[in-house]
Amino acid sequence: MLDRKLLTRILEEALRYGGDWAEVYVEEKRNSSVFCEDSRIEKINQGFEQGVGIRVVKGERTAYVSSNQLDESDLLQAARLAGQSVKGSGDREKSIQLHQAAGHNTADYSRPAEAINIDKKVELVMSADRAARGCGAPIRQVSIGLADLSKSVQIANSWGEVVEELVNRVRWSINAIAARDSLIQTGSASSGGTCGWELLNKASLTGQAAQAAELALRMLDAEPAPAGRMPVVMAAEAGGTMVHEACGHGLEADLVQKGLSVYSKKGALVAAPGVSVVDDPTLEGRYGSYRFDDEGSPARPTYLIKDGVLEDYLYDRVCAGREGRRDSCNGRRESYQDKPIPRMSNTMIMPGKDDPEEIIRSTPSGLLVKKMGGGQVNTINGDFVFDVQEGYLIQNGRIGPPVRGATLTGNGPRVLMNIDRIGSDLGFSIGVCGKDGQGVPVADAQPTIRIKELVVGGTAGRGPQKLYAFSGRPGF
Amino acid sequence: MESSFSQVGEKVLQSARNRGLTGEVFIIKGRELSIEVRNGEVETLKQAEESGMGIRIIDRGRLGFTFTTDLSPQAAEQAVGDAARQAGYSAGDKPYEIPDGQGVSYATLPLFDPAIGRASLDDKIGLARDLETKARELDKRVARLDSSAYQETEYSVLLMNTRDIYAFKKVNLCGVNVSLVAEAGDDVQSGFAFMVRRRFDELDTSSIAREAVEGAVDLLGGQPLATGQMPCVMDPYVVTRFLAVLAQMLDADAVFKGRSLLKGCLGEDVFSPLLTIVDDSLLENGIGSTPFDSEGMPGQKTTLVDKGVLRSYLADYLTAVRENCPATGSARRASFRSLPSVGSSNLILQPGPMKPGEMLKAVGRGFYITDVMGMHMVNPVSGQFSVGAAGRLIEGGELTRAVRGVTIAGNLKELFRNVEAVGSDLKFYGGRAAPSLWLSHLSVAGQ
Repeated sequence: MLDRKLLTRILEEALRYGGDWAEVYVEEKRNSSVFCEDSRIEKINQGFEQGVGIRVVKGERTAYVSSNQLDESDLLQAARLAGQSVKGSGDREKSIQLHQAAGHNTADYSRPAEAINIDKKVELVMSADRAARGCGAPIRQVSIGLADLSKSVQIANSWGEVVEELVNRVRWSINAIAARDSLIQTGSASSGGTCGWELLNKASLTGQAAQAAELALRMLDAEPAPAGRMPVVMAAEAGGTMVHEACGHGLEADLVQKGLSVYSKKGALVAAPGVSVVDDPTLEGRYGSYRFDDEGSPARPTYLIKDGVLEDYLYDRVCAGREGRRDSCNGRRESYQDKPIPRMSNTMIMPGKDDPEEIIRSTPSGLLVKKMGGGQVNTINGDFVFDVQEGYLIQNGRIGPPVRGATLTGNGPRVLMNIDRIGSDLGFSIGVCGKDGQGVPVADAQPTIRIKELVVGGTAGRGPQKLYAFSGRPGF
Repeated sequence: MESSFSQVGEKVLQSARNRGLTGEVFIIKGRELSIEVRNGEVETLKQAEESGMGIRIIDRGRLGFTFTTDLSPQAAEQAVGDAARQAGYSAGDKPYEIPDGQGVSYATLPLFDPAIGRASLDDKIGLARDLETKARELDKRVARLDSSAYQETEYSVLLMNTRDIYAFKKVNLCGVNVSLVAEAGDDVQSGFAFMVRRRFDELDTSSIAREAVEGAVDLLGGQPLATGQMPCVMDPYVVTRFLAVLAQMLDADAVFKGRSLLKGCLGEDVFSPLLTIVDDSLLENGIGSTPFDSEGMPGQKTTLVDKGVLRSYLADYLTAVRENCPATGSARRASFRSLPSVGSSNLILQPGPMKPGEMLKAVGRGFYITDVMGMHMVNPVSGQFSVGAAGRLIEGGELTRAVRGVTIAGNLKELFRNVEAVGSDLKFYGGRAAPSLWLSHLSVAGQ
């Protein structure tokens, strides 16, 4: 990390050419990963990377310069380049006074990334491989990836704020392939957190490997999913991909400010009564958690939707500046190579009061989603899709046969308005959220909910009858 | 540049040789410029420099890999040591192989245009501004521009190994893209278009503006279709999205490890006889063109599918040696931080005889698909897909109302079998190209 005198000189150089404010972001990180396929470990990857990103903002213009060179002369050169790129006027000497650094730059994880060496990683992965393959003869292939990251971050800006943090992140994922005759199906499972290897105390790699294999086997017997509109119950264990796509991106302030979000008015009714959505980076150890965002703002939760009403958006400093308010500590970046923009952290539909099992019992027919994959959204009109990796027909209020090959499509605001049951449970899923070419780790969560209808894109022709008659304008 | 690289590279290889090991080093140094304009003003100006190296070390047939941004001699020595230690944990039952440089030579390709570096920053800002203005003026319904951007990249790569591979190239690329919103009443649609070129003088803001605006206004007023099976025509852009998934299924490593539906299908007529698909690393001015792949194997042109018959997979050196199949020079690295894996270079579905207008008339009634959503969710192992789709209805052989809010579903293998006709309108999108494709039927879900 850079010493305070150097940070000060970089910031002063960056602002010399007329910018409003400047920021330096320094990263030094070590990754380690192990990959197993064919019951063989052949891809072990360990790496080291360091870099800096210097940002200067003047009015509506941002200049961003990044580099791997951390010598003083290279850093001052980068600062000069960024400073001159904002086309400010004249020669300004601004003196920067840096405050005491906030943050934790020592490890306070009980089992930090370095605590598990390659031997142990290999052992964990091989034992998970055995667990998955032991689930049944049709399991043809299992691939398992395990990775950890230890990252030191230093952020300093021209308001004098300094943050120094040590962050650990761990993640594993398993993909199992089952085959029978010419039919191939897959099952996957993953876990991760902004934490060290103490994650192994909370989640089981071998347990999840077996789950992935069992899902692949179950899907071999699944019928093609029906096609058409139907009621959908999404189990809490399915995780929150839907909330992420249905409203998460649409509540990022940069999209709202550019007129690119369908959620354009605070105070408007955007969801059914009882639906509340919160983004909270302060949750302990979740994949999207952090103590400070990537602009150095201390983490805090944001109530986005409260009982159906749109309350707030996710702000970074530039967006907050436009509205003369404080940011919501959602300024995140993939690495020193990217400028921060508003991003989600851990985004949740809050639990309600209904009994999850009763929700299924009270649904005559429809689709039960137990596991979701990825998704995508067009924030401008709110249309989204997400992938169903484990689904079951609901028949007479009971869980029926498994179905495969379904994508659900819907329209964010319409779907949120059509949530008519909210369970008292809560389930999380993790992922990497992509926006503007940058990926950040996130977690999404929801309770068991029922949506009156979604379009299910299976191949099996018309599905179960609609629960309610169509009313209002047809189509999305 | 090349000599300072080869000094570091030599240090790595020497360190490997001193330990009695086989080694390879991939060094890259590059810079990127990106300019985003909004309402005529520069909103973001980004300049990035990156340098790093990835090192593969093989110890008695076992692989270790490290990467670092530190290109000093000490870091090189450290990295080789780390990789060598890792190799001890790697499986040793099947030896790991990297290419042999004996007799290897590379084609000369035009990869660098000095005009990109010579053009001034103001010229480049001007291109982004011009693109924004043109897009706005093309149609009154264009309500907002999300961003209008110019981007360029320049990088040098040196790849050397202890088996006499030595490969160096200096590359640059430039491009423009625009993202906008069109409105009609309550209805809002987005449009996006991009262009990547090897030569600065080939950048054309007018065609990109038109593509983005048409992409948005054509979807205004979109409604779903009735659920059922129907004939579909995919526009070239959508076809290239599906080709990308097909490339994953043609990865020899995936095939031999049971991760592809195309295992055991070489020589079979797996797809429609109307389809011929090639991967061409030597295409003049192709965006994916390269004289060597990312482990130093020569780039080549490979016929993957010939009139429906599967002729070849895409293979890197290791899979070629282990599975006794032809190496096709298909190793790619996402960055110096990753091991090479198989990928396409310029992946082209060859055009056919039918003009797009004729195709619509011949279809009569169907779904003309211009956009898909959720392609990253398609399962390359099972070939199953179910993705959001949008476009226009084909009625009486003409494009009529806009369609939106539907999904199309099926299996990729079936999709490429059920081809009625191949269009003559070949279009390139980066390293992939295809014409329009008429499919006899797809499962559409809407109402």
